[in-house]
Amino acid sequence: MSNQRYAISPSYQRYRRIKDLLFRQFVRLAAISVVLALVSLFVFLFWETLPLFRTATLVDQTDKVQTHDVILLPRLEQTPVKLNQDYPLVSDGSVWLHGDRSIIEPREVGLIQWIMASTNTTEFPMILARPFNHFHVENVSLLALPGSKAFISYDPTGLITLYHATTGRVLASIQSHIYPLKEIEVSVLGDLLKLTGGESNQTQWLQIDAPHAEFSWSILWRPWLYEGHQQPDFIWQTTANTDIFEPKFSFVPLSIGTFKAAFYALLFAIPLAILAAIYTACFLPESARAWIKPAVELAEAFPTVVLGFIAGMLLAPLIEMHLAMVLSLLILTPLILMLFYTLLHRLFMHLKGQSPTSSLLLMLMLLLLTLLISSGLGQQIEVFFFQGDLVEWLNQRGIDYRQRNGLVIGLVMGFAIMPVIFSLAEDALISVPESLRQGAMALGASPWQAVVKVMLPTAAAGIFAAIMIGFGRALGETMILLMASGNSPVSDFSLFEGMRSLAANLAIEAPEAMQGSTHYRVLILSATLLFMLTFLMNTLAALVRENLYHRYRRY
Amino acid sequence: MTRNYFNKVKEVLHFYYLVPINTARFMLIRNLFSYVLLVLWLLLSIPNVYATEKTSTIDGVISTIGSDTLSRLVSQWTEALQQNHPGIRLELHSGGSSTAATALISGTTIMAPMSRRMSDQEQRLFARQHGYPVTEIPIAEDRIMVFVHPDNSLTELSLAELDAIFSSTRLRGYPNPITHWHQLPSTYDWSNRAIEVYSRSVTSGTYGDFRELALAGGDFINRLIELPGSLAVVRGVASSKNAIGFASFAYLDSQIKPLAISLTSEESSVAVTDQESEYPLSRILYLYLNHPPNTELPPHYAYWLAFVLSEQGKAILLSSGLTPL
Repeated sequence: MSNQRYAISPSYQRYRRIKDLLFRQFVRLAAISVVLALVSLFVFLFWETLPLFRTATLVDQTDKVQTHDVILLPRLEQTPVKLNQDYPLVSDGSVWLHGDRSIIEPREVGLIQWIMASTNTTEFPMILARPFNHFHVENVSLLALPGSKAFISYDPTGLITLYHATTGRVLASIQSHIYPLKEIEVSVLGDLLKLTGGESNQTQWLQIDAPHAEFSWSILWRPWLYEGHQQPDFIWQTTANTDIFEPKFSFVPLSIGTFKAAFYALLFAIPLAILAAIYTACFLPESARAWIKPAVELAEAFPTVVLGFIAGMLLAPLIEMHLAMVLSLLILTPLILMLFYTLLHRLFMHLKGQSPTSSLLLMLMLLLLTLLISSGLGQQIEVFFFQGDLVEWLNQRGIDYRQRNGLVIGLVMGFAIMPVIFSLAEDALISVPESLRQGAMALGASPWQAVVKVMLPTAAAGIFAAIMIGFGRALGETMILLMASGNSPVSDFSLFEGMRSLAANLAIEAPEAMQGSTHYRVLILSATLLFMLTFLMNTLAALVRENLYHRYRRY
Repeated sequence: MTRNYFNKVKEVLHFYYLVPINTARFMLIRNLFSYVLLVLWLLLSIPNVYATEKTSTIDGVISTIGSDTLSRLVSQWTEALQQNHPGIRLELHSGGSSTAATALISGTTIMAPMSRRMSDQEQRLFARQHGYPVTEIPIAEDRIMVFVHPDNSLTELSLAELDAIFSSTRLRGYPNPITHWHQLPSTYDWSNRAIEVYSRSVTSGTYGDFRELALAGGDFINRLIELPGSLAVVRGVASSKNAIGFASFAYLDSQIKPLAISLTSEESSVAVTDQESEYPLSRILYLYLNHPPNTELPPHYAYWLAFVLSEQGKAILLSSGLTPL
């Protein structure tokens, strides 16, 4: 090949140079935009959640308010508590909050909230909910705001304080210039206050700026007492038709649901995936490995919607019907299989002097036999030990069985994340230098010893990374959980109870959340949480793999 | 062998890179030509706006976002209309009534069926966004049926019992929560199992209506199993012996057994199929329109609406078990 046969013209050189430059810039732009997209996603999520944490304000709007536009709530609708036989314990000057389900009562020690617990309590239908931080002054009056659980307190000196009942927080406080302050009225929309009082009947207008008053950080993570409930609890219930309803944002059931689903999925996936990876990487010949690995990786492309559909519609009722069989299949199969192998090995060694266990056909037949035996055994065990019905037996011991539960999710989601773990663990094992294994074998280790004592410890970090990636994927998995988990927001780690995960919750509630509402922002906050969790997992995995790479570069 | 092949490839590549002058020019021109073709194709693919305006027959896409309860009806109406007007097509998103309100306010759709009334808050937001109030058309009276698996021996429930099964607040005053079937007198012998409580998801209007009508505005229990559609709830209950669930009356079929509901345990209960008596869990289904005042609806929407409100449309309503208004 000599260059003399073809001449490179200057024009073609120029064309090549320009093309080179153009494509280089293009590729660089693509790289930058990927990073930018990630960063802007982060920025967007944080930007959207930021208003939740903004403090509320009371702003003097006396000059700006067009007084004839504002419709004030008639005095009659702001109901004070009528002290009759129903409410003998409540002192004078108390008010009902919006919706008439809880009472705010001024006392010497401060303000307290009574909430309606249940309508059929015999003596006093209210229970004490919470006190409010209050800088007590004599003659404090209260006013409930329409449309929310917020209320204000005011006294003749002109100190006005805004509270939110559900969160128990003091939102804002302002000192009015009117003295003595006689009365406050509120607009129908609950966003404007009209203050009247003073010597010459002055008026002042205040605007209430508290768009996300019903949110607080502690409401997300602590058990909380809401109207109508007897004791504090972790509740996630966000919407209703009326504004009397208190939205209940607790991340605890959602986080527990997410971790529970991922945990059970890993419990199922890790042993299978890693044992399969060990077998493929260490014992299979190269030719078999070449098609088994891509085949398993292909399973990763299986749409999770289909898996979720199968899990919810077919598997869940089936497992409920044959619970004992399924459990015995999961637990007994490996045990029986090992027993069989040992027996066969002994037998054949005795008879022929060689082991039959390397035959694939025999292995598969043995597996089939084992499955049959363990499922039959499961039924027998159910009859003998669990009175013929495992679900009923569990039920008698106080363990409720739900059809859509952790077991179903563990099985199906475990199946979904198995290929990832398998593929990465296999990569980690195969990248252990062959010299290490050969060295171990040369020093007299058996193939199994070489794998367990040499290859597994060296690839441990990589396998750990594989598990991390699988865990990250399980945390973010949506469709399987949406369709098969029942989406019940319970705070419970039981294998036989349902769950609601962060991702599935987003899929359910995101379409209806009004942009800019508290619900919307709380959902975005949960999305940020989920994003950071999976990001953390993947980063951890990447760091571990990097470490692994550096450790084996010298071989 | 591999090396040999690699060399051959290299040879071919060299040949193409070290091309004579003319070839380079030609490549440039050829590229230019293909760009021109691309631009021409793009220009041609812009739809011809004038062509669609000239047609006079009624056709177009009816696009609705909203209630899952009403989705069956909307498609039945459209199918009946399509027999005479094949030009009308339907784009149906049934994510639940709350999605309808959101879509109407953001202007994504101009027509939205809802199985509950738009809340004051949503109506205010709509008016603030568009400058005029939303148009509300009450369509039919619907009954929320409560149903169990056919094997269940339960036949009727009072509202207070229903509240004790579904809610954690028990505002209807039942003394203790009902979590297992043996706690109910009529299923005392039938099963000791826990009750599996099925519901539509929170975006649904049926969910909101049920909260108001049955739970007196209280909260649902945490163990509530939320499924995305009415049909999914029916299937879920049909496949689980210990389940109870609720959905619109239009979804009644033989896989499930509807329960008769009574206001209090003293009063006699009313079956969901009994059209004579007043059923405690009745609500009204609505159709909402984003219709600016003093303007006309797009013709295919107007025609569709006229059909829905005609006798023919009402006959379809009746056939699915709803009472037209």
